[in-house]
Amino acid sequence: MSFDIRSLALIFGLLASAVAAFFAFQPEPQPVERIVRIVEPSDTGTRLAYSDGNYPVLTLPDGSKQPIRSVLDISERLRFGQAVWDDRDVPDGPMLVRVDLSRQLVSVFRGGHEIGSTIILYGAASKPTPTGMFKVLQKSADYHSRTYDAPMPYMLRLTSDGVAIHGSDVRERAATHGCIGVPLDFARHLYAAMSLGDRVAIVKAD
Amino acid sequence: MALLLAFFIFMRGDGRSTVFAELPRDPLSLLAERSPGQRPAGALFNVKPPKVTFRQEEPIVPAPVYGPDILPKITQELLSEPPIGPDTPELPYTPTICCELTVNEPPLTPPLTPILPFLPPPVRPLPEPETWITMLLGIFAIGSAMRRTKVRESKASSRNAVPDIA
Repeated sequence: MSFDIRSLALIFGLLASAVAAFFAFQPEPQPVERIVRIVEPSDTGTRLAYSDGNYPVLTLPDGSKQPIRSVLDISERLRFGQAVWDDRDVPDGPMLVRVDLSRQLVSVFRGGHEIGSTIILYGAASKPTPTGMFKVLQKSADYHSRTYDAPMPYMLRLTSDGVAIHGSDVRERAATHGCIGVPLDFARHLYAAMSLGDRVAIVKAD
Repeated sequence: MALLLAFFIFMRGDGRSTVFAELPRDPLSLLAERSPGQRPAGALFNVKPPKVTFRQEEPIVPAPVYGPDILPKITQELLSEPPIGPDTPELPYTPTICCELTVNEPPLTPPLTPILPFLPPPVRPLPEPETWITMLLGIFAIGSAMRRTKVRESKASSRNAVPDIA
């Protein structure tokens, strides 16, 4: 029981080091990196266009034919959460969203020109996403699901029983309750481009 | 020159769009290039990061059973043949029992170690400075662990807020 100067110095030194260690080991919250490449008007990009009269044709689920005039030049494989949107110099035309479940892709066409593409989330095996031709029944930029108590920003309702396209956290090995989830920035652009009654084709395979 | 001409034919357009003059490619093949492929089976609504990977239990090795073979075994040769040397005097025969230990297993008891008496240090009426330091360090360790747990849980809850989607 001797509080001489050396033991006091030892106490305060260890206390200071403990406090320093306490603040040094605090984990800093790191933002989740989501690379979204939404092409802005200042960006440069390329587009793979088919020559006139040489348009390939996509067959939609209702049997109609959709000629493809140009496709976005995305040379690399997209990552989850990454999206591409480029509608520069694309004239107005009928909108068509083609959702490819087997490729986990969505392609947005305006007048046959592809203007956006990203990786989607779709329904799990227990709640699969229906396939076929749909039309946008309802638009809501700030929707909140009552069933799942979850935010569904930029919601485009496709069916009356609750299947929609909306922004969500697109990650690998994730699934939805039947909706089609797209990254948030992509959902914002898609919401701005689509209007009520526009067609959405959901295909499972070719 | 012909190659240059073919290149210009291939690249004709407004500079930003490449026109397939010769080889129109299937748009589905272009989609397949950017696709991550099919989703593996087993995707669920709520995907939480893997927290614990359970280590496989090591198989239980049964304890060796010590049978009577570890007991001393009387050699029959020594029993039958009394040791008679050339210069040892003739003595009344007394059978010599020789013990032979078969050491196949480790010995049953560990080697003896001297058992030192453990005397607790004398308790002082007031804690020493070292005791205070240890206690304060423990409190700081507990506090930092609780803070880190709280931060991790808040991050996890914020991460799991979005995927609850239809």
